Amino acid sequence: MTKRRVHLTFTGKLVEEPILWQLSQTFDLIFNIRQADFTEGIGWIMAELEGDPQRLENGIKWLEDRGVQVAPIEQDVVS
Amino acid sequence: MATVRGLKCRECGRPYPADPLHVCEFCFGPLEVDYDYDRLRGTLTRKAIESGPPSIWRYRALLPIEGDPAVGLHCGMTPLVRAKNLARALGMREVYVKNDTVNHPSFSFKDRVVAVAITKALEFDFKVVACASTGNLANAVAAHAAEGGLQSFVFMPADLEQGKVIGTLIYSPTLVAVEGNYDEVNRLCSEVADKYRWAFVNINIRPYYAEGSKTFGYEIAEQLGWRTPQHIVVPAAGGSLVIKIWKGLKEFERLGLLSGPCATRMHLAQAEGCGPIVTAIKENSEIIKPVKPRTIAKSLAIGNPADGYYAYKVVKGSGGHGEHASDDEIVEGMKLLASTEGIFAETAGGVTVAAAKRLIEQGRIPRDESLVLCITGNGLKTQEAVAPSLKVSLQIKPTLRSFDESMTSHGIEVTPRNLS
Repeated sequence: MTKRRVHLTFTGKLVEEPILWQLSQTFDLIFNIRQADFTEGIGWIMAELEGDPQRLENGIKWLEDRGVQVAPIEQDVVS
Repeated sequence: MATVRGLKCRECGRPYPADPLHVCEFCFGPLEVDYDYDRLRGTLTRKAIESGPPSIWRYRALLPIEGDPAVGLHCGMTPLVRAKNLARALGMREVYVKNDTVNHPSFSFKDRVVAVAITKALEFDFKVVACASTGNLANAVAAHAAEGGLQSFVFMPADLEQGKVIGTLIYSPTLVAVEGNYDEVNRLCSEVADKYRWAFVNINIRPYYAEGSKTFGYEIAEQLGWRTPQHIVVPAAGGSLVIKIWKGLKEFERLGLLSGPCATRMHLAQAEGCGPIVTAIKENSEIIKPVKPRTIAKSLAIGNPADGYYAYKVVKGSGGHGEHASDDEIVEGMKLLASTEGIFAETAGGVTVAAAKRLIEQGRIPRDESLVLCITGNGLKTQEAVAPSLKVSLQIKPTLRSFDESMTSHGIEVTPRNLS
């Protein structure tokens, strides 16, 4: 099992969708939300994802393909 | 004088020891250094600071190091220039340029943060330092690591400009050119920082590193005669600089070092092609929407700024505002600063000047109030940004006649020396 701490940003219609639940169901991942903030049209979640390493990778790719911006919890570390 | 209590979560306030940590294990909020200000009140005086070295280390009681500084001994105390020509061009009464184009050793404000970070890394007994960078930070880390005798790794996107690469390689770090897009480089560096026991200056050493930026604010206040200006315009990438300048000014106020209250309005400058924090300020949105950077101001090209929310709060809380600058305005800003004050700033400086110009024209910075522009890096690093808009003035044959004819044809009037 591998853990990954991520900062997820949702915009537009994605804000209203149960994406973490879908992620959990599809890739058999455990999610643990630590902080979140949502308003109309935009929101973010800081969470820890846990599961099989390959499923975790696939799940993150699935999130990105859906239009979710996935970043480390540090967000941009290149400066 | 050890004044650091430890680290504290900026979100939930949980305390942590002063270790190489950067994220709260409970809420994932960022950690920052917690000082015992009561111990400093009355002992940290203007006189004590003024008798210190002419560098950032004159403020060491307010920096998170335990022993003596180990690197960057000549960093900071850069000029605060009374910019009369620029003020005239902007229609302002009182403008100053805080000029970190001449910071030591690598010619940007990043020398301030890295001098603190690498001193701290040595205190933690790290043998390797690292960073992920698109330029200024890479230069500063490689230079300070060389001075401190540390092995260094610098991660850069593989398509970076040659000038930035050379300005880093000369210090003999291990430069890792990552073949991937920005997000992939970003993610890789976060994973590398997680796996290896290195001092990754803008990741696991970040709480200490970021404190170095406070010295930018301390110097502004001290150089203005222990007062603060009515306005400061700060360029923003991740958003940390404006937060730390503000923190520095408020610390001085709290310790009774200022002549009056700090009522400075903090304004933010970002490029149109990467200005998520300024957009949030304009839209009154506390949530920063990430963007894909498309700007010539590469040192400010942070699309998902970690400190964006906190920068937003500082600007709004101080009564300031934010403005964007287009690529053309950035180049014009660089040229204006150079042609009026003889200061060649990098693209971020052009962003600052251009955004300030907009804020003045909008009346957000009144023309009869005092203004400090934060100029954070040297223009020799980003020559490619202005090169297309600059050309040789006169092309002539090697004769006096050709020179005179060219002067006349270009309408340049000069009075010849009277030979009689």
